[in-house]
Amino acid sequence: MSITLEELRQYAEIAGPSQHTGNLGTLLAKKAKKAEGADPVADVRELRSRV
Amino acid sequence: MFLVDTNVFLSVLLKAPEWKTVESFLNNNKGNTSTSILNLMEIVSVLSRKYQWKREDILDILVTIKENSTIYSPDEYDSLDAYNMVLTHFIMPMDAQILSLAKRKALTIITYDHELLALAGKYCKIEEPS
Repeated sequence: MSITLEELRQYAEIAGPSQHTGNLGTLLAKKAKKAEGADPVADVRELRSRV
Repeated sequence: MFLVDTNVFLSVLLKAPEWKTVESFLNNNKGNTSTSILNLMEIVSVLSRKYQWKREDILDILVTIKENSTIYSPDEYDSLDAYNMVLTHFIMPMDAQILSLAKRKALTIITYDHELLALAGKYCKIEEPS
C-alpha cells in the first residue's frame, strides 16, 4: 500500500496550526499495534539507506 | 521545541521495549513537540510496507500527530544546507535534511538513532527521549 503526497497534505494539513490539546503519547499508545521483535531504529535506518 | 524523529514515534506505535519512555516524553512535553513532513512520510512507509497497517489506521495516526504537534516542512535553504552536511560527514540524505531543518528552527532532535546521536552538538541538540 502506498499513500500520495496529496493525501498527506489533506490529512496532515501541513500549514495549519496545531491545537496541541491532547496527550500525544497516550493517544498514540492507544492506537498502537504491538509488533514482537520490532526494531524501529533499524526499520528507519534501512529506509534511509535506500538511496 | 523538540523535533521527534521517526523511530521515536514508531517505538510507541509498535510497542517496542522503550515505548513507555516515549509515551511519557510526549505527554510531558505537550505543546513543545514537533516533527517534519519527512518523518510523517517515513512513518507511512514503515507502517504500510513492513507492518502491513491498513490505510485508515495510518491516516488516523497522521491526524493524531498533526493535531498534537507542529509539523515543519524543509525549504530550499534546508536542502542546500543538507547537501553541505552530506559532503562534510557522508551522512544519509534524509538524516541531513532533518538535521538542517532542526538547525534552522533551533529544534532539539529526539531520536534513538546512534548515527544521528553521534552528531549531537554539531548543528543542533540531539537527545534520546527521557
